[in-house]
Formats: sequence, structure tokens, C-alpha cells
Amino acid sequence: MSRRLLLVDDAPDIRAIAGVSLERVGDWSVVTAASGQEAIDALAHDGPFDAVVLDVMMPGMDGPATLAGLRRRGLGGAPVVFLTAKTQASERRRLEAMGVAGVIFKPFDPIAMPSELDRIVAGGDH
Amino acid sequence: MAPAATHTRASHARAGSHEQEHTHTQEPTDALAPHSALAPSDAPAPNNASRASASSPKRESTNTRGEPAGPTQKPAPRARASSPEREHTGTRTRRLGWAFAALGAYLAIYLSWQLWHWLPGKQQLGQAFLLPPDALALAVALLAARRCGAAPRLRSFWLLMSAAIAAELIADALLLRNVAIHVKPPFPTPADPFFLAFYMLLLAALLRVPVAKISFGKRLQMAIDGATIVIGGGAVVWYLVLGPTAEAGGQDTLATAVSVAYPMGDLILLAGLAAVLLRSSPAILRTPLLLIAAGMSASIVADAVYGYGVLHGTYTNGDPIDTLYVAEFLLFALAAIAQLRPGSLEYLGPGDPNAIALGQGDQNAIDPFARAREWRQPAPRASWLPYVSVATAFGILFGVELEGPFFPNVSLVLIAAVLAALVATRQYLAQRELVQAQAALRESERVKDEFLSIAGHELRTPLTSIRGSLGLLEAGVLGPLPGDAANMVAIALVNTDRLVRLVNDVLDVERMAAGGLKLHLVKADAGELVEQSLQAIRASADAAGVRLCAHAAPIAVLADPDRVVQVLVNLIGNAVKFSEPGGVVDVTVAGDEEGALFSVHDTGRGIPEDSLANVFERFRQVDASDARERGGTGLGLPIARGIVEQHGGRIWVDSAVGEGSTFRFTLLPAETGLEASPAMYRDSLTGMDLSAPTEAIGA
Repeated sequence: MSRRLLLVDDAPDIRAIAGVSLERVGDWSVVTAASGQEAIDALAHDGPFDAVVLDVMMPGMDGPATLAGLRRRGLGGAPVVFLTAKTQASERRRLEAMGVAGVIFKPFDPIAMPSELDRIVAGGDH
Repeated sequence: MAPAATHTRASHARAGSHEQEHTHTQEPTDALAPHSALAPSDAPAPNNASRASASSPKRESTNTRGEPAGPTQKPAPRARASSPEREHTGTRTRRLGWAFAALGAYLAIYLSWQLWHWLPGKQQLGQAFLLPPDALALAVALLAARRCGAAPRLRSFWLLMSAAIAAELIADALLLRNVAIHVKPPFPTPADPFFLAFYMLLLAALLRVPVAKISFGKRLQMAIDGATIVIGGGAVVWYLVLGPTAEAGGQDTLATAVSVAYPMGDLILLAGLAAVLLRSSPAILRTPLLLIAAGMSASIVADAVYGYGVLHGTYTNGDPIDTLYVAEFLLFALAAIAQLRPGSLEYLGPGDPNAIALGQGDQNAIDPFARAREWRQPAPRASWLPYVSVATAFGILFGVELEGPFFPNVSLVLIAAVLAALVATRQYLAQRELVQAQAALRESERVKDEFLSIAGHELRTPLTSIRGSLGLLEAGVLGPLPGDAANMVAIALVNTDRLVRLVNDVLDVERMAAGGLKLHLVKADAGELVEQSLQAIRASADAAGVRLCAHAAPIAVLADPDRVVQVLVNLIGNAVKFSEPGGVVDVTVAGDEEGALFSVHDTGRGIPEDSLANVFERFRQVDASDARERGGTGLGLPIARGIVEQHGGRIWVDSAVGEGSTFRFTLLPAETGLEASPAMYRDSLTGMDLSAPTEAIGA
């Protein structure tokens, strides 16, 4: 059975593209959420997950807030990877300081992204 | 100047008429001069025409000249049109040169007379010598007033200047009459009201100088500066002239009042001087005001010495101190001539914002001249004035007869206390302003950085969707595409990637322009940086059939690893792009305690000598087709240079056509310490605290 991944992004485009990329190029089984609240609900109903891919800039509950919410509700040891279109090194440092497994910058290559995610997830407990 | 005073100044008819003739002959080309300023680009004709109809005759003539009027007009006059213009400006500059020479010659003649008295009649001649500068200054000031017709405030400034100078001319002429007929006139003489009027009119003129709108704090600072100068100068005038004059007494009330009025006039002059030097004034008045200030300074010094001389009975007409009065009015004349100088008034006309700022009505005109917004900022140049005033005052007060009868020590202490308080207040205000300015600068940098960050995010978000969709299509994840469609999608994908690079590079360049990249400096290993860069580029090198060779010694450098890798990726990427299949790209790092030298060598086609100087400029690819064929943005090398220089390093290139290129750059050793590095220094200027690297803003 393939690994389960929670994909959180408010943009339907990205959910569609990253979903296809992760399911067909990678071998993930993807559950999508359009907001932080949906992600927390998904964790309650469909969890646990083997990994979470989390957009940073979302209306209402943003990426870091969602991360905190997920952790409070028992994320387990699932690695979290941030997805962001702010590509400054300072932004990456800020996000990495939150103890996530890694950061993937937008725009991403949908063919290369799943293997990058695998590499990050395999990188272990960051 | 004081009671029974006897000094003067008159007309230099030749110089005056010379001036007049010179402006007259200029009229036809005057119309040409703004031409280049008004029509820097080829504005569409209808637009031009509508502008012409709404503007002055001067501008109309400009526009008719700017447009091809008929078949008789030869084409390509634009380039040529500038040459008579330049010639004209040259003529005018030459004529001004002659005017300066004439003024200098007059001063030389006067000084030689002062030294050797080669003509007898010291008193009469001494007084007569004062008249020509007066008259010359009057003539050119009137001329300046006429030329400023389009700007009412400026015009009234020069008219009041003319009136002040005229008053002085009349007074000096009246005194000459007295001296000539050897009359010891009753005091006050008929000349005195005119001398006193001179001060008032001069101050009135200075108050007509248009002022930029300034904040309350700035105004307070200026008031304090002015007060410091006037109190400092006033103490000297009081001690040397005013007190003794008032105390000498013995005369009737009117005589005493007039005697005291002269030093008071000097104080007024001092206040005016402070106002001139401390207030912002329009750029076009810059030189004239400085010259007038110089003239007023000469006058104040001369009056103090003169007053002292008269009190002690040592002054007679033709005294060497008169030289300062001659110089004063020669400087006033120079000021008016400076106003007539080519370029200083060319832009004034209806609709000209400069004219608006100077009191012209047309508020709807759009500002085509950045220059018109210029105001002379007095702060840095005049900030030392209050201190000079205080120092001079105390120098004189302590230096000259301390036990003087008119100047009780109590008042000296009082003045010292007031001045000290003023200077301290000023210091406090300046300090506070500096702190506020720094905060504002930091804030504006933060806003710019935030804007670029958001712009980047907004540009990348749609690109993510496009790039993602195309990537999935092109890879056939969603099923195979028919041949042509696959081709089109591949093209779209390549160009989307290029657009992504362009967005990143443009934002980097903008960030550099907006106050520099914020570096996250740490101790890094040069070899490791090279290794990271090679990893990033290996796939495209393999695809191009180019071999990558690295010889990197382990050297510790002071670097922002992400940014140095960016530089190396740019350089190595370029080297790969311009190498033939089978080529080799060598990356080496050598170093010592001075730092590390990185070099990236390729055996590609090389860079022609005439392009070498340009490769680090923006959008300066050697061959325009390179951007298309090789997928570059034209910004890689400028960014590399920006990053290296911000690190305190240097970047350069050696190349020969057909023999390949070698790009080299240096980085400082890790031991440099954060304080010594230029990037650190720059950040300390902007207030960024980089002493704690984890807090530093990267990117």
C-alpha cells in the first residue's frame, strides 16, 4: 500500500498539479485540504499521514499556524515540507527554524518534485 | 557705516551696456536653448502643437523650430541644431568671462591705488572709487529683474536688490559731494537715511526669496541657528560699536538714534545673512545668494571695523577698509551676473514649475524638469555657522580689551549662557532628527524589501501553475501527446523556465538596487561551495557533453553560502553554455591568508575584446541571439558582480576569442571578522544588526 500524504494549499491549481505529480510521478496516496482548518479536520478523519506538504501563504490560518495546529492534534512523526513562492534564503531559514523536514520552492518541476520530496523525507528527523 | 560717514560706490557704464548688449543679441538663440530641454524626445506633433498654443511665445518658437516646418527645411537638423546652441552658450559664457575679468581688473586697479596712491586726493578719490561698483551692481540687478519677468517673486527679489543698491549709490554720491567741497556736514547728513534704507531694502529682498515648505522641527532648528548667529554677532557689534556709540552721547536724540541705527542695521544684515545661508532656496538662486551672502559678510566686517575707526577717530575716507565696500558691491554685481548666466533662467516661463514655485500661477502644468524641484539644501554646508559665530564672538570679546568699560562681565557670562543653551538645543534637535531619519531609512528599506518579496510571490504563483501543468503534459504523465503538440508544449516549457529565471534575476537586481542584498555571512569552506555548485549544474553539463573538473583546496572564507553558490552556478553555467560538446570547464580555488581566489575556466569561443568591459553590465550579452539560444537572462553576471562586491571581493574576466574565458573572483578569509567586512559595514549603516548571524536577513 502506498504512503499517505496530506497536501494543504488554498490554490486549486496547485492542489491539482501537485496531486497529479505526487500520485502519478511519485507513489503517494494524496489527501488534499484547501485550508488550515480542512487540514486539521483531515488529520482527524483520514489520519495518520506519512508526510505533509504545506503551503505557507494561505488566507486565514497560514502555513506556520496550520503546522502548529496539526502538531497539537498529534501529527506523529510525519515529516512536514513547506511549499512557498517566497524564495529568499531568509524565508527558508525562517521556515526551517520551525523544525520542518524541508522547504520546496515554487515554481516546482512536477517531474522532479516527488523525488525531491522523497529525498527530504528520507533525510529523517530534521 | 555710521555718522558723518564718508564712503561710497558708482557707475561702470561700459560694463553695464556691455551686459545689456550681450543679452540682447541672445534673444534668437534663447528660443533655441530650451528646445533641447523641452523636447528631449520626439513628441507627437499634435501634442506638441496643443502645448504650443497654451504656452508663451518663447515656447511657441521652440515648437515651431522643433517641427519640420516645410519642404525648405532640411532633414536631420536635430543633431545639427545643438551645435549653434552650444556655440551660443559658448559665446555667452565667454562674455560672462569678460565681465568677470572687468570686475577683477577694477578691483586690481583699486587695490593698487590703495597700496601706492598713484593718484593724489585720498579722500575724494577714495570716495569716488566706491561709486562704479554701486552703479554696475544696480545696472545688472535691474537687468536680472527684467530677465526674471516670468517669476514674480524672483523678479521682486531683484527689484528690491536694485532699490537697496540704488539707495547705497545715492548715499555714496551725496557723501562724495560733501567730501569734494570739504564740508564738514552737520550730523545726521542727508546721506544717512539712504544708508539706513539700504539695510532695510536688502533685508526685504532676502525675505522675498521663495522658501521650500519645511517641517516645524526644521524651522525651529533654523530659528535657533539664526538666533545663535545674531546673538554671537550682536555681542561683537554691541561691544565694539553699539555700546560705545550710545555711551559717547553728548549729541541730541536724533544724532544718537542715527548713530545707533547703523550697528543695528548690521545686526539686521546679520539676520538676513543667517536667513540666506540657513533656509532652503531654489536651485536657480543658489549662486546669486551665495555671492550676496559673501558681499554681506564683507559689509558686516567692514562696518564693524569702520564703526570702531570712527569712534576712535582713526577713519578717513579712502581708508584701506573701504576695499571691503568695493568688494561688497562687486560681489552683488557678480550675483546679478550669475543670475544672467546661461542656463540659470532658461526654464522660466508660464507653466514652468520653477516659475510656479517662484510665484507663478499655472498650477496645472506637468513638471518636465527634475531640476525645477531642486532646492538648495543649506544644512550640511551651513551647519557650522552657529559654531563659527560663537567662536568668533568669544574670540573677539575675550581677545580685545576685556576690561572695556561698556561691557560688564555679567552680560558676557549671560551671553555665553544663552549661546551655550542655544547650541545645546540645536545639538539635541539635530541628534533627534538624525535618529528619525535613520528610522525612516530603515523603514523605507523594509518596505522596498517587502514589496519585492510580495512581487516575487505574486509573479511566481501563476508561474507555478503554468510550469506544473506544462511539466506534467510534457513528461506524458497525463498520456502521450501527438507529435506537434508535444513540440509546442516543450517550447512553452523551456520558455516558462526562462521566465522563472528572469523573474528571479530581475528581483535580485532590484533588491541590489534597493539598498543591497542582505548577506547572511558565515564561515564557509570554499571547496564545499564549489561542490554544491557543481551538483546543481552537473545535469545540464552532462546534457551538453561538457566535462566539469574541480580543484578546490579547503579554504575557509567569509561568505553567504547561498549567494556564493549562486555566483558559482552563474559562472559555471555560462562556461558550460559556451563550451562545445567535449569541452572541459575547470573550477579551481586557490588561496592564502589574504582570501580565496575562485576561477572558472572554459575553452569556449571567448569574448571579443570590445565586449569585455560590458559583460558585467545588465542585459549586455555578447551576442543578442545568445539570450534566445542559450536561455540566459542577461542578468547573471551583473548579479554575480553585485554579490561578490557586497562580500568585499572583486570579480573580473580574462578572455581571448577562440581560446575561451576565465572568470575569477575573490572572497575574504573567514578570519576577516564580521566588523571588517564591507557588507557588514554597509549593513551597520542601515542599522541592520548582523552581529547575530541567525537574525540576519538573507536573500
